[in-house]
Amino acid sequence: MMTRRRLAWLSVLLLALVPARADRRQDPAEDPEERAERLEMGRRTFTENCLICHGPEMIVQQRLTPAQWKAEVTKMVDWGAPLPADETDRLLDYLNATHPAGAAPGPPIPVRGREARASFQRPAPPRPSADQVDRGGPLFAQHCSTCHGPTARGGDLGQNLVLNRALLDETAFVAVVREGRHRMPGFSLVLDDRQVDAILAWLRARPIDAK
Amino acid sequence: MQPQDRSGPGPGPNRRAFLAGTAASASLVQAAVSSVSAADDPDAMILRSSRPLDLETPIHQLDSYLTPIDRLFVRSHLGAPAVELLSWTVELGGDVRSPKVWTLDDLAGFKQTTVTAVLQCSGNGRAFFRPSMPGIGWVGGAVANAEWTGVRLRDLLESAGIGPDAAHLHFLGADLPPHVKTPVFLRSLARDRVFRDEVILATLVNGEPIPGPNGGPVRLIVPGWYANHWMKWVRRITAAPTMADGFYMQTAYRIPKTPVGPGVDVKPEDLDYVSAMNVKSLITSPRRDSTTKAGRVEIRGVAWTGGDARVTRVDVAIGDAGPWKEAELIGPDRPFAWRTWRYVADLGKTGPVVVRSRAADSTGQVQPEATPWNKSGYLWNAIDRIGIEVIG
Repeated sequence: MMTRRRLAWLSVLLLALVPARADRRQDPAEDPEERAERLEMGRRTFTENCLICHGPEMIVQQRLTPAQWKAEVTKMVDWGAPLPADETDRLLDYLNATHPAGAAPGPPIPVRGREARASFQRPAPPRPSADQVDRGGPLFAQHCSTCHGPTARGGDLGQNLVLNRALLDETAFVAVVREGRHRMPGFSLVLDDRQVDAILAWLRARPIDAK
Repeated sequence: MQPQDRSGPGPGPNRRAFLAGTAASASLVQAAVSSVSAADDPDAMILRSSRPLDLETPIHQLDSYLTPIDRLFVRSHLGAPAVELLSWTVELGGDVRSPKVWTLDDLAGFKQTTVTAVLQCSGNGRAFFRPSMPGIGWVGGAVANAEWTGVRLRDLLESAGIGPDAAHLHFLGADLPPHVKTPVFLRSLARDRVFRDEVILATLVNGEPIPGPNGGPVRLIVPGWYANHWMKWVRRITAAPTMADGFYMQTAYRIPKTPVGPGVDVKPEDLDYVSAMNVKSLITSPRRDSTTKAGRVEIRGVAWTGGDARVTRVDVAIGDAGPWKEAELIGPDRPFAWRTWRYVADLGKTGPVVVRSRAADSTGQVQPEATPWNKSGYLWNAIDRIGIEVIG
């Protein structure tokens, strides 16, 4: 249900994210429904792959030429973005259609500074118990390492988890592991709460350098 | 965080679902204020990225000598690490007689120094370059002036005994990259820069512990140089014979010695490393696009420069063709910090009015009409220009 407050910031984001319509490239021969579907596919690729590692604002605030978008996407893939090769074209179509060079920049997005920093004011979580850490390691290896890498520093589909701030919010961490996120599946049928806590403990205890 | 969201920005029927999903996945968007009140909210910052957190300070919030901690801009490539999970240590190794591992208590035991210095992102003002380029479109608020307190690097290095061949110090922070293929934010500084009196490893800003988003508990301070050198979340220092390799030292933060236009390749030997800041000013009052009553209006701002140069004068002009009139430099005059300035203008005519500011420094540098284009959008320092509405 949309509260008035949520509606207020939704409208702010909406304004910030809508690009100048006049500059979108149109292929007169393309059926409008096909075009809409093509761009929708690109949008999903964007959400499922790009938003794994970072928020959308940095991307949607750009206004780039096709060559510049291609260079940025190539750089991201080189740096580990799990973008499937056969989805690259649809992603570029989407980025070029919605954030092209010459389009008007969106208005700046205001946020309350105090609330933006609120997550840094939380107390440190308790030190994980040795027992939890010992149980968590093999569980991570079995269920998580395929995507996140054997030392949890990022792999084929998952990002680095060592010193990741997501580890500081137990409730949110458990929810993501249970329900999944972007290209991560949910593990609610595979892992119980005690096992998820053990994995969290093991991750929290990872040393900064891989041994 | 939210379960799988199957939507994204742009056209399509799921924009609302996307906004909800994305907003929740970046929970700080709860902090967004409605567009109506945003303009007046004293706590409002400009969101450049939710993750990693990048915040720009609205320029009118820079209208004081020291930038309050709550108004410090925030920027990193890789995002703040979960510093809460670490018992913080700073290691010193490489070509040193006695490698060290210091806790925060150990660092506090050294003599403490306070330096007032401008921290500015090298991309501050990138939004003004034409043609535009990828990167964060800061308009001017990726800058702050603050008092930084900590230990001189020289004292730390001398306590360990650095070898005669150690021409460079490498700095590594605790911000781990999101993937093993993403480059780490490893950078280096030449020994003679690091040995300068004002280069410190700081734990306090304006007398308070440096906040996590701004590099706390420990960050490097390199007064007079751009923020890419001011390593955040410092955990390891290594004395070495050569500069650091890697993307964030050898590819990023390079600028052609002679400006070239878009599409022109430049050989590495023709690239400088971004280092000392250039001369720059910002008008902090009146606020951009604000309304003011006709009559005598106090125009205020800040001005700074880089390296060992000092701001020598600031001029203000009313209108794009108006004559330059000297402003008054007021407030403290400290090396590496900015100056605050004021100019009282007689704005008699109602309607739209342009106000411009132009700073000059002791090396003869003067702010240009437009900074030479470079493909990364660094070093923008053009004359500041605001529009206001004068009413009767």
